[in-house]
Amino acid sequence: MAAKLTARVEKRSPSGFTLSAAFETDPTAQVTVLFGPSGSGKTTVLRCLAGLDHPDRGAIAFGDDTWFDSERAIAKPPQKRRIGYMFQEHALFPHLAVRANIAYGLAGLSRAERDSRVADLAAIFGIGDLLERQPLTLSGGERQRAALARSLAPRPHVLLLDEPLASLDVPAREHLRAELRSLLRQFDVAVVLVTHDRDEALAIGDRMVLIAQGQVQQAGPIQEVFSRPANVAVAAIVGVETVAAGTIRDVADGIATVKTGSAELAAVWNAGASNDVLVCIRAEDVTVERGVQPESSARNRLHGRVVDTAAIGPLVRVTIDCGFELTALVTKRSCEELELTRGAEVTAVVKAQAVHVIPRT
Amino acid sequence: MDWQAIRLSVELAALTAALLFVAGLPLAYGLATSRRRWRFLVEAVVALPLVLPPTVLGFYVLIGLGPHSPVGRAYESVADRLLPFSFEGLLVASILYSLPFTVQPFAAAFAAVDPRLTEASYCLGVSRLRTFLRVVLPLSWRGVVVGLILSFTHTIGEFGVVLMVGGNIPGVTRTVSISIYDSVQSLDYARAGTTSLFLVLVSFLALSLTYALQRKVWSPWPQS
Repeated sequence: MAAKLTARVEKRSPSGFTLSAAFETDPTAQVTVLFGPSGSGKTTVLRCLAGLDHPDRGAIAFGDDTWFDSERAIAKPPQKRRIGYMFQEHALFPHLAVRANIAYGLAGLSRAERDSRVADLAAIFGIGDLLERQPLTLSGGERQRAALARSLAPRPHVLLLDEPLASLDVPAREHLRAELRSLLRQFDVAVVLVTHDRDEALAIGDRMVLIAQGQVQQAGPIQEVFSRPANVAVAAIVGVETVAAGTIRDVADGIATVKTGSAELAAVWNAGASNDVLVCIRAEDVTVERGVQPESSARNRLHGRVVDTAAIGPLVRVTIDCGFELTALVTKRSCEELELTRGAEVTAVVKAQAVHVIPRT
Repeated sequence: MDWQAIRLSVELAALTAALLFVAGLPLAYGLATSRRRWRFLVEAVVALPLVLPPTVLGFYVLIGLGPHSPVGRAYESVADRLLPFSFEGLLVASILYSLPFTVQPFAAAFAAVDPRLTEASYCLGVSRLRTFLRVVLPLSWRGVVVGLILSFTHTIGEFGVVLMVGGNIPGVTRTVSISIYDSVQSLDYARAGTTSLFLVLVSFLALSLTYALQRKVWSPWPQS
């Protein structure tokens, strides 16, 4: 796979906002997600990676190729970085047909090579019958595919995606979210994706760099960042404490049985392309009972042991091993009454509608 | 009608528009995309001919091109004649005088092109110049045509600057507007009338074309 992208970006905006972010990608993980709330500076980081903006101070390198270094006064223009950049609004050239848009960055190739490259990409993205259309006549989803094909056509080393699904309507967004990851898998390209959408990050990303208030708060494998937030700010931003890989076993009456670790979870499920999923459960949706309790209306009753507790203000975060690691949030008082200490035997109760399932191909 | 003057005016205007097209594109694109602090000063200089009386502009051009100026002397040593009261001198004055009429529509049209499109082009490995030719110009050609029409018609109609710099030499510097003035001075109202009517018609046509383009009457690609 691709080389490692390392970036240290310091930039002060005219409004006084200071961005100071350093991170690197993992060459074994294809998609790195820059995740954070709006205004956290993640798009600025992406623009600096592209060379559309430059940091006030810092350094950006891809493998041993230096793209930017403020101390050595190196600032390669975007043309010299071999990148693909996809804008939120897709930025297709309105005066060119889809075919000419995709072929736009291929001026150095012979006509035959150009045509075959366009045909290959059109087949992968399923836009073969749109090639002669003008961009303004396309739907949002079609435009997104065309823009993606255009940015991948010159075979970039790094593909930068700025909120690629944000401008789509909800059905198109959900459809493409499930598909984007497997589409990207077909290309030997490192991907950096900016988003503030949790589901998008989980559906597409391998590695996550969480940016808030202009700084990197945490970086690591995506499930780890969700499951083990480094601090309260990260926990508040990710909002979901339990993220575990699972497989759909069976679907009946809109309720899926999801094998997660050694446990089986019932979850509301409205069909998806794949059986591989990520299961997300918010800690406040988990009720903890002592011992092995009888049935209730909640579908998921998971027996396990407490492996860790951590106080967060008036609340306690309880990590339970119930076949997978599940995080619950209880009050300090409940924690004491139930004697939730390490090794305690408990039943975690989660409603099926609180188990959020994200398809991941 | 004074056909000699009309032909001279059309020649002058066409050359002025052509040279402004070449000089105005980079200047206007620079102004439209520059993020430099002192851009407004260049904008002000370009716009000066809009507010200055033609006599002031003509006066400076006369001095600037005259035999006592470096430019005038250099021209004299190369061409063996003086710039003022020649067609070439008139051309220089016309270019300066029409500069804002060309550069402003150009710059407005370039500024209206979504910067994300040019950035997308850069990220696809395409140079700034080729991006300008392949993306910016095709999306702003209306503004460019408007700028050219305006510089052409404005040159056809100029009077004060011509009088100051060119004088009134038939076939060399006697343009349509000077010819009309002459006709009136010699009480030849019929001749002044037909030439004036001709100017009115040309100007009306040019402006109709300009406004039609701005309202996108003819469009080669679908509208959003």
